[in-house]
Amino acid sequence: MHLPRTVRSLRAVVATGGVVALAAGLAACGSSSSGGGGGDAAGESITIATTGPVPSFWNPWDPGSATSTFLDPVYDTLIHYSDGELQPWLATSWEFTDPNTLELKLRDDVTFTDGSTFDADAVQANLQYAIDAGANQQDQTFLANISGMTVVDDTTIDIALTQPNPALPYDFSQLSGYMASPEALATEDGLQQEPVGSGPYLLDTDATRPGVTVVYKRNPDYWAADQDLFPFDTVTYSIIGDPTAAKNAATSGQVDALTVQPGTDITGFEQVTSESGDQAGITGAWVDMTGTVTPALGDERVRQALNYAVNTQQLGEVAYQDTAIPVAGVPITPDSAAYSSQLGDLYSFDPDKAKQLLAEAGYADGFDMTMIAVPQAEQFAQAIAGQLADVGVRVSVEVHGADLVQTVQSGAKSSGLVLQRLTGDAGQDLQNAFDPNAFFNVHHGEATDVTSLLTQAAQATDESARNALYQQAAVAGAEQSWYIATLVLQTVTAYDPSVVTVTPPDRGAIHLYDYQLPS
Amino acid sequence: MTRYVLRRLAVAVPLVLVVATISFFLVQLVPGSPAAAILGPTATQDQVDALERSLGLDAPATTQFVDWLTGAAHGDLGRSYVTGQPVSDALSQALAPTLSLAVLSTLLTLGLGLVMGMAAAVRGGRTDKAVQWVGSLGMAIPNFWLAALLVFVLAIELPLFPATGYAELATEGLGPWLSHLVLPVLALSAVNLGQIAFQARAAFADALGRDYVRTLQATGTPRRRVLFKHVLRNASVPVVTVTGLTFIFTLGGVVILELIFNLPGLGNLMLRSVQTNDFSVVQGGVLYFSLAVILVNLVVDVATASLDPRVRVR
Amino acid sequence: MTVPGTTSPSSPLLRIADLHVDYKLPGWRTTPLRAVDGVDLTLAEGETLGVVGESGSGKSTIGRALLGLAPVTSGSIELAGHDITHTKAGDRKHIASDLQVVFQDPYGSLNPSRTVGKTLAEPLEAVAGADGSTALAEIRGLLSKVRLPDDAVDRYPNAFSGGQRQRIAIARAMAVNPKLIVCDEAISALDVVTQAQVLNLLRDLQRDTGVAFLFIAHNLPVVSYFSDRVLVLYRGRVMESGPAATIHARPAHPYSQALRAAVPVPDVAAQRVLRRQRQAVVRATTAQARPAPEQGCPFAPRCPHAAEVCWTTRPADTPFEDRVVACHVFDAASGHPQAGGAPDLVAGELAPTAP
Repeated sequence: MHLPRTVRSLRAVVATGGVVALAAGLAACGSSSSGGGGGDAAGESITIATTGPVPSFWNPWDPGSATSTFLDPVYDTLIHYSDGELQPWLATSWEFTDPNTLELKLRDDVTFTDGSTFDADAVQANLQYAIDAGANQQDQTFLANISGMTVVDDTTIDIALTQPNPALPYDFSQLSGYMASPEALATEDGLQQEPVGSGPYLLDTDATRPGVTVVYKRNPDYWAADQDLFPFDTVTYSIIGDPTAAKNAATSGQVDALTVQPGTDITGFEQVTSESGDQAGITGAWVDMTGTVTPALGDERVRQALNYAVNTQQLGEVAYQDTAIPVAGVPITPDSAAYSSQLGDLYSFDPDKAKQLLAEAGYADGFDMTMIAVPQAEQFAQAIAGQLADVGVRVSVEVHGADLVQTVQSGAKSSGLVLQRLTGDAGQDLQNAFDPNAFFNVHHGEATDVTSLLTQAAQATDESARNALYQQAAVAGAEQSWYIATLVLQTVTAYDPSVVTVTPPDRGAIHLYDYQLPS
Repeated sequence: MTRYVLRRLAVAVPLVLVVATISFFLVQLVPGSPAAAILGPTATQDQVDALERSLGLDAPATTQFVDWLTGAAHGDLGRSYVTGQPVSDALSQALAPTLSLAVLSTLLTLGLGLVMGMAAAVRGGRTDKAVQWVGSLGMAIPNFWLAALLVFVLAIELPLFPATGYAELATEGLGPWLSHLVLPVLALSAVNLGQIAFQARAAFADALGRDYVRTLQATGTPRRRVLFKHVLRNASVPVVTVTGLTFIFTLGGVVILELIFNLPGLGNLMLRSVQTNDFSVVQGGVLYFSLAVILVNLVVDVATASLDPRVRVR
Repeated sequence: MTVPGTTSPSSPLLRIADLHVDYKLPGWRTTPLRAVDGVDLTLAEGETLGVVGESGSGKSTIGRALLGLAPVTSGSIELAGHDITHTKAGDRKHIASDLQVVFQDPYGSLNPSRTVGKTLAEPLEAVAGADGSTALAEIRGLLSKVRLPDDAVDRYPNAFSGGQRQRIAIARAMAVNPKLIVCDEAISALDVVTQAQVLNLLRDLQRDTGVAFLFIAHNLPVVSYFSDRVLVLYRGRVMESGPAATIHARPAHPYSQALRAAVPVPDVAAQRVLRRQRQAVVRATTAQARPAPEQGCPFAPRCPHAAEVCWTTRPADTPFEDRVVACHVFDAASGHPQAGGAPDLVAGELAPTAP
């Protein structure tokens, strides 16, 4: 006689109609436990929203480590970068003893959380590991440039370079500067479960929930505790992929600081726009300047015509509100030392000049070309195509998502969108754009005037002389017109001013030490 | 009854195999290489090739399939190409929020839908009209819009519930778990509520019109006894079937809600994995979803059979 | 009203007086539909009263009003001396031991998700308060009474044929030894052979237990065969009532004749009469494209003998031979042009009136 039981259980199901009321009763305890900010215990903790995904291992040199977000609390960089200047940190001083040798002086009072000592050997172990492991993308150029390392004594290391790289100290303030415990690096799974660094915080594995939040608690033995650079006892990164969800979380007090899309307004939050941070980078379109696919593009006049034909100011306003700055075909921002008024005057919107240049090159009737776009930027590509159509250049936009890399590498397309982070160093950014082996330079075109100017600049010991050479290189690059419709994108950081003040640097990553208590 | 369940299981097993095969080869058809996606736009073809070799992606598809299937049979779905995490771990972690959401929503819609349907059928008149209105309204409102509205009203203007996020039942307890799920469950349930209420209404109306119900009424059986002991059970059969269907649709519908409410569920994981070409996770996820659908159908069949003796005989 | 020619006991088992039942139609400000319009009837213990009429005649509504399933607008229903006119379905526990019902649909009359044993135990437990073991013994007894095997107890309704299910429904009704069973089209869904079997079963049960039947059906010959007395109902009114045998053999009211004519008979001469009556009704129906009058005879639009008086005046209940007929033709004082032509009408010889 199983029947009465079934009836009873169905009755129970009917009774669950009351679940809403129950949940409503429980709501109070739920919302009080969440919400890191909200005014109470200000200065104690901060919750920062990030899009993730969280790497499942904690090796700062892993090829998957593309962002400093989750590394910053647990690893120290050799050098800090704030107020537009390099500041001593793990390295107390640095000096190019000659253009190809950088000597670092190191602290002698730092230990990693596993007890091992930070010294010159540790720096060498980290860099050697990075070279051997083929570290993350951003480090590739400068790592390839290291020809050897010499440990002078416990607190001194000399780094020898194949070519001069005056930006190396700056690199050590970014992703390439994190120092992990050499013992953990030497162990196969040493950094699999937990980070082992010397940083101001420890990973709170109990509070961390995979895919939801990463929680850090203060490192009680932090060597720089007396410097008061890290005011929060607890730092929580809340992983929120969807911009609307992130905004809702911020509005309801669950999040104290976050990167937002241009044009987002969060009640009670202040916003700061910077050329640093996760969203900063350069966009626009590369063209096949060798003319291999589309012969017309091999003619410099044609490429310049394309730059004259697009109204980058308007493109930036339409696609990125007021967070995109038009630049003349080179990854140089108006704040950069490599920027000059001569560069600023290049390529102001002039369709008549564009038509004239096309006619001179023998393309008065225009020509056909293709442009590769990623799905999320298809509208941007179409906008460029629309403006080029006005001078007779017919662009067909092809959208490639998963097979983007193969499509670019195939060398069969005449142009495509660029979306690239900037290092913030004029020399490296120009090098990345005009190198014969640059990613978008599939047919290995050469811009000898640009590269030779860059080499000269790297060897210049005097900073103003070096900047002058960078300015010349930037103008030379812009005149080559390898890139059209270029815009520098900015990061918009929103924060709750009752909890935190964020002061982003002028370039590079926004570090945890840029988050301070409101004054 | 046991024989019936065994028979259903016997049908389900080959179905799982077919689904596993299809899910594997379907994902193979997607253009693009996981290695290229991992290494980013600045990687060279050599680097991509090397990573493909180390991930075992250079082997023929059939070899990869046999390896994958052998592993899957032992519960090993491989490792994520992107994070290196075992796929079964990643999926299990993501399963909890998704299942919590889907099960709570289904319980809510089933419970409330049955009550609404019963009330509409038994009372008729204004109650019936009201149920039809509420049900139609729920079906007409897009769930993402309702979600935005709920967040605005119940998390921002009137901070009763957290706007986003998830709390684990095991580690953080019932209160936080439930409070994080209230808004997504409500947003998810609105569409299904109408369907189940309408189905229940029709089923109750049909059962109430049967002669055996009239006989019971005419011979003095108390109304409650008639409703709960006789009508509910027979009316439940079509409702259970529809509930099974809505549960499956719910599994599909959670993806957008997981995004809006930032729940670390299967939907979010799948979306991220698709975007990063993390095929091993996508394959595992497709398998999980398919297993869930097969399982739910099995549960519905068994529930229907236990409610309705006629099904068992067939 | 009493029916002449029968010996009604002073206190009948069932007495229905001037029963009116109105159904509210869906919609705003609709006039209610009058399903039963002033019906009187009595039923003695152990007697079978047949109620016959087309669908919509209100015959089932009388049964449902009796069972508390339809709202009584006015009038009274008395069962075994108790007024049950307004006793709602939920409060009928004390009535249930006297009054049971068998409905038409053998597939809907039993709960498909309960075994036959549970279905039969329901009234025993609910009404008689029997416990499990005595209930089971009684159920076996009931099953043998309706000629079903013992093992039917553990089987579900879907394992049985339509006739068997009706017998189970009858067993359920008999379980509490009621004084009256309402058979609402109880055999209409069955084939002829099974109908006969079930009717014989009912008759045997009546002989053994003395139960009375209110036998509601649309088939006049079947009702007449099974009933002691018959009530012919049209549009909620009694057209004719009297002993079953005479109404079947010589229906008096034009409507009774139409009902009778609808069923084929083996006798060629009789069949010819029936065909003539049937055609007359059809002709009248075609000719009189007027709705049924509020005041007059409800059958007037279809009646081959309709006259002006039929449209304006409600016919009085007029005794005719051993029965009562509500027709102006039978009432000498009615003013109907064919008044007094009753014997010809009964013989099927009366010519139709001009439309």
